[in-house]
Amino acid sequence: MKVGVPNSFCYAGMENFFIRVIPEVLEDSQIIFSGKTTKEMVEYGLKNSCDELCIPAKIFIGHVEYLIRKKNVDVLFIPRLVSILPGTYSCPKIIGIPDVVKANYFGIEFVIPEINLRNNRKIKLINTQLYNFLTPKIADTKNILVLAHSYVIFDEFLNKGVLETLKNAGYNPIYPTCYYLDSYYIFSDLPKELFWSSARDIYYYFEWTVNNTQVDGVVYLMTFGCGIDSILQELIMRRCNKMGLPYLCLTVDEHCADVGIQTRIEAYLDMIEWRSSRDEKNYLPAHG
Amino acid sequence: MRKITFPHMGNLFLIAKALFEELGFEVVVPPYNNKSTLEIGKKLSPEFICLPFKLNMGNFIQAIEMGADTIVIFGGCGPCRFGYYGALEKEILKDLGYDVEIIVIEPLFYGFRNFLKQVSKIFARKNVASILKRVYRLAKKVDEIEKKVHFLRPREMVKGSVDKIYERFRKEALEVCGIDQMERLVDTTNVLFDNLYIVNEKVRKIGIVGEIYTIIDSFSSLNIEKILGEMGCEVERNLYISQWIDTHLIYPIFKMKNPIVKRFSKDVMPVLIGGHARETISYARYFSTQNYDGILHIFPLTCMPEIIAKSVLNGIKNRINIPLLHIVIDEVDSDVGIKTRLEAFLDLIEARSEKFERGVLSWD
Repeated sequence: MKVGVPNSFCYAGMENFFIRVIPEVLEDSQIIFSGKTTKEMVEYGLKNSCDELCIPAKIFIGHVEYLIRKKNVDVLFIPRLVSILPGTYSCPKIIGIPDVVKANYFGIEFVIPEINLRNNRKIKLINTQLYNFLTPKIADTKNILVLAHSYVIFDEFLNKGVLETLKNAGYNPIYPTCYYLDSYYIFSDLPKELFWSSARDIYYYFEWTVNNTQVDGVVYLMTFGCGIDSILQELIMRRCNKMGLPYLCLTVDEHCADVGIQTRIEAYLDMIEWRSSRDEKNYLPAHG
Repeated sequence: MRKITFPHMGNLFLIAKALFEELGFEVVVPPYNNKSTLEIGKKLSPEFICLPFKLNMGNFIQAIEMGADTIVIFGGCGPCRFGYYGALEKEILKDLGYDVEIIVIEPLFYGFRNFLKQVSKIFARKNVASILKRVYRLAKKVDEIEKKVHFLRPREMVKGSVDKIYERFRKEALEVCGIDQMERLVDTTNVLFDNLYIVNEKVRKIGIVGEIYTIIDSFSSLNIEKILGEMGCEVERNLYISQWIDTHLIYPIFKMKNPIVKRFSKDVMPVLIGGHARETISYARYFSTQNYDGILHIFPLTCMPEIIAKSVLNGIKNRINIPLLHIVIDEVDSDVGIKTRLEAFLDLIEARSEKFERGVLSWD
């Protein structure tokens, strides 16, 4: 039996978890991953999904379509990630995406187990087993904090090579990976605890790096139509303004070009360089 | 004495005003949602946040200018963005330098003590149970009025008379004080409605489903109900304020669920994904079995749960087999654009019913 697993969107980075779990659930199964995002998948996704969905979810639909059309899978394995951290929820789109796929594709079988750790305060270990990402190395100087959901940071199509651009310019990009920190125990000065798992992760990583390492600037990679980003971006922007950290927010969607993004990154880096070459505390810019 | 204010949501101000006055506070009702409310809110809010947040911000600023010093809002524990409204609004108002107290009534998930602490600031008087009971009865009555308006609009003999009575009711509601007077006003309005002459014309029935704020608040839904009523359609919604109280405050006490939601969402959306996505889907399916001519699905741009609901409805549209129009409300929508779309939609329904009479099943 061919079990298809689309590994993008919220399932990116869960490959090891799937390899471990699927043989326990389904007997004599052959696991097929959809792999990296290709142009073909993006086109499938844009064609088959509803307009208002955020771009990672659209690409996810493309992955599903690719698995069904090109790989002839019999079963699709898409767990419903209601909550992956105690006391939190996933984004509504992540919770509801199995229903969307189920309603739109007939003639294929679905296995939709539910992962819900919301009220389970004892299980902490499972978080570290759920996702496997490469954690970034933090350098002594010239760190740029890139904030985004991990499915944006690890998807070449979505991040438009921002990490590469930063590296080529001589900076060291650092980014939050899922559960890099045990964020449940970190103190923050938010007015209210964020109740989305990924938002908590991103915000606490921001809080931690800004306080404990030397960060030159913050880049927020926002996907168009992402509900979590619209709030999180605002909170982080306000914090950065108060601290005087250079801050850049980039909105990526299916139409934006790589070059445009890179130009803005370069201008931003120039600004940081120019700023550090002066005494920034006492210098007032001439243009207000 | 505190001067309390709260955000607008359709006729919610009638109920909230009566409640707070009964509890002994002075109430500042912000002006009805209008263009300038949205203009103010747009400037202060994050760019991609949903429309209700922007209108809320506008309401608060306008109310503060009128002298309010306390804001009461509900909180939430996710996954919909509404749960973080209060906290973010607090942050924004603080940065703007306004000196107001914001009371966010959080659900019990964040601890009973926290809940009591916030609630005791407003309910610091005896007799609370009886007041709440009367407020609930008032909410039911106000919703009855709204249902009556929807029923009478396409059937009235003198065009515009329903709206005249309704506008006067909303205007006078700002002047009366307390639950008793409000209830009397509701009763007199009811009598006025009962004495209207109606004609028996052929009326189409349209069901409205979608996100709670945009379908209850007539400004943000661009008066869709009124436009449809004038075009000769009776409108039925899936959500009313009293129904919200039922599903979120009354049913959980008795561990009950809305029977329609329970029945129609079992196979397409078995778990709650936040907001009212489940209600949207199940009521859309319910309306399709109940002799309705069409369904409108209304939600603000970037609303997370409703986008999922739309995607699921797209998938099952062949199964429910009823004309379905999605309307995404943005801050730049115009009435004329909406009117054109609704006209086209009604034309489609008309054409479809003629085809049915001639025995043609579908054009697909």
